[in-house]
Amino acid sequence: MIVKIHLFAAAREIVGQEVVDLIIPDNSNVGQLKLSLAQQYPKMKNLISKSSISVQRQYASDDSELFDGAEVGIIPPVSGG
Amino acid sequence: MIEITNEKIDEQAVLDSVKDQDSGACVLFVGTTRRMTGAKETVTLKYEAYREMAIEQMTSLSEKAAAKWPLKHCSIVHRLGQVDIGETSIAVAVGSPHRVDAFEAASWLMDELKAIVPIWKQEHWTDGSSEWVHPTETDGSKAETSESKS
Repeated sequence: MIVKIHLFAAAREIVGQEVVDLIIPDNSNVGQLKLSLAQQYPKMKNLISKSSISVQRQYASDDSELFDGAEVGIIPPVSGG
Repeated sequence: MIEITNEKIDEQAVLDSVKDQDSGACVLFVGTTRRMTGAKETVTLKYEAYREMAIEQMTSLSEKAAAKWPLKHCSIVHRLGQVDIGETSIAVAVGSPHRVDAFEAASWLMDELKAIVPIWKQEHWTDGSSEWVHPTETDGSKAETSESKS
């Protein structure tokens, strides 16, 4: 299945794109997705380990199930305000 | 009023949005861009957001604040893009019958916003370098995860 990865701040700069499609095995969860991302983008590995993940714009835990077409956000530690 | 804007924030409009005849206490917090961080001097800040999620999170925070305190109104406005020194990047206003609740709610909203709303700032320093600010629990302030010369 394919999920849409939305990238921001340092993560966006490392990858060089705002949105990328990532192919992952069916029935993957968020924890498995983080491993796939770190493999595909080794430069982002450190940042991914510190980041939260959103699914459909809601914060998700590592055991959250993913689905085809899901909108996934890589949320590096936030610094608004 | 829950907004993310690329324009300058009109603080008076944010304050006015929480005033009414039942709110005896209105608190307005304005966050502005600071020149010095330790020994380093900032030229400008740039903010970006996961806009749709940030709006949803800000709306959720205002609803939670209204459940925790007897608020009549709650407004949060965050600016994106380039924000020069001394300009306003965030304004939070609450209106409540009594001041203790209004002060507490405004403070809580800012703490929560800085912890969970997906907005990031990029420091542009006087030496020409820039970096995204991605605070971590271990350093308690911020980590330099991305640094580039511009």
